[in-house]
Amino acid sequence: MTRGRGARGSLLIVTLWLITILSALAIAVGRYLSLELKIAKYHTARKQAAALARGGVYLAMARLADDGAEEDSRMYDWLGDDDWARWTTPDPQDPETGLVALGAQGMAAPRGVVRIRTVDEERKVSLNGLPGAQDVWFNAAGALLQSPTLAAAIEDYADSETPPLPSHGQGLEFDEASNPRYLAKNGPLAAPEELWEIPGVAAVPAEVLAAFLAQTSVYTAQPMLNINTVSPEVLAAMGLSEQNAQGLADCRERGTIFTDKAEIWNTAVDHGCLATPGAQEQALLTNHFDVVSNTFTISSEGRLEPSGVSVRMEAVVKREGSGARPRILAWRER
Amino acid sequence: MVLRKLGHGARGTGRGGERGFTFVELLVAAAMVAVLFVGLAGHLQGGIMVWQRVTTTTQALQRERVAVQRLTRDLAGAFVYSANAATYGVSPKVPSPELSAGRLRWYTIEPSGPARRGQVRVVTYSCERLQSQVGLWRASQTVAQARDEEPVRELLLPDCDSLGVSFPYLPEDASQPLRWLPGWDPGASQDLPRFFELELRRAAVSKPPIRLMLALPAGLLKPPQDAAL
Repeated sequence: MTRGRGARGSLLIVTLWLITILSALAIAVGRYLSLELKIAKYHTARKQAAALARGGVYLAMARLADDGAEEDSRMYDWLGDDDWARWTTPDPQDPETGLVALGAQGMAAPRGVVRIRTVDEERKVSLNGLPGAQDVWFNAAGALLQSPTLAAAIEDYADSETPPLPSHGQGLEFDEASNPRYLAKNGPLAAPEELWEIPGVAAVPAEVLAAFLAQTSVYTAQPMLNINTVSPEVLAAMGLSEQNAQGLADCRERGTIFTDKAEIWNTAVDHGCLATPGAQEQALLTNHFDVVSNTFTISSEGRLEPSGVSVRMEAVVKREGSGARPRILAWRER
Repeated sequence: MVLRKLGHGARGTGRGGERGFTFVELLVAAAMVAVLFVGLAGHLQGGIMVWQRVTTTTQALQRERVAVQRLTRDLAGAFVYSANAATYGVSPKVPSPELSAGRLRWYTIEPSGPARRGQVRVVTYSCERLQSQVGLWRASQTVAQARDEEPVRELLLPDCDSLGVSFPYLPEDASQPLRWLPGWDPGASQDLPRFFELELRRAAVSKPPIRLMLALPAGLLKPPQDAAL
């Protein structure tokens, strides 16, 4: 009897051991499977967010295509009520005009949102306009980069000539000492990322570089900016005095719209936009500005609500004629 | 324990004081256990084989997925580096973009570099035998490297021995389906195609080729008269 009790006790120990081992195994398998599940869910969420972001870009493109003549049947683009620029949800974090926010409409609980921002490229100084262009663009780029030497290097990179252009000196056509050696492209910049190839540009302080990139474009070639969207920083860099540049921006804030290329100067004077109107200001406003924009950067962010997974896409598009589907010039997925 | 109890019970109660086993009993027990294990081992081996096959298939699928993801990412950022054909050629010129069965090469923006602000890269994909290994190889270089250096290749997918590409062209009559042709001519503007079909053919006959429809957002769908084929 006593021996039997002892045997039953050892059976209990063996059983407990077995149960412990089996549960450890079950927990391990469970953890492995839940990890797999998490990874799969994240992949699905990213795919959905990417689809949302891509949809946002195409929505913005459709809006740009629909944006034809204004009520007075003239063609001009401005930041007030143009469809592409409508600001439905002001975001204090993001003061740039042209933000569109929308949820997945018609759903009781939206699974995701798309934030779209459209920025006019024709408010920026064209870096491909530098070679052989008037000094005003070269000076503007040099002022924005806070370095005329680097502006000359960009000019030499993008011009079609192999010898350095004599107009702005320096001449950075090649650098055999660097590894790998540097050779100028001798053709227009096709992407802003090409700037890092040019020696010295990567060493520019980050905040100066960010401001420079925000105010310059490689996607436009024509030496005209849109007076309705150009920033006071660019105006100042082009040689307008601080008061005049700010005055013009304030004027637009108050509701002045430039609707006719030939009337830019008269409109500016009539609306009292310039603090000190003079011959120099007149030449600048008359020769270098237009009232239409056709190239835009669309930033679209798709975010899934419960998980917070987000995907950003950016496209540079160009309108070729009213009503036509804009052409995609560049695409970035981040 | 169990054996002991069984043995005890089998012997009856006549000689209650004896609690050992005879040699024959042990042999019989060992034989029974051996038979049991042989039966189990067969099943176990089958299970292990299935598990191994599942693991290799999953790994192969994972490799394929990674390769396709790489391709799509590189194609999403594809752009025309220069519209001037004279930019491309032998060193010190930069390599020419190429989308053919022999090699796929184009210029793209990779979200890498300091602060992930992006970098212009020349990427090349080809299915060939390198380092005595047949497979899909990828190379990625900066523009400056692409002028002078041989690219460092990285094996993306083993077993791929040739590529097949076909490109869509807009038909003259819009109601007709797209025309598919095997070659792409960038033309004077060096424009990239809007999308194309890629076939990764396997060295092993048993493996079916991988067919992919790949998109280039910045590409153009052109009518055949522009293509000049």
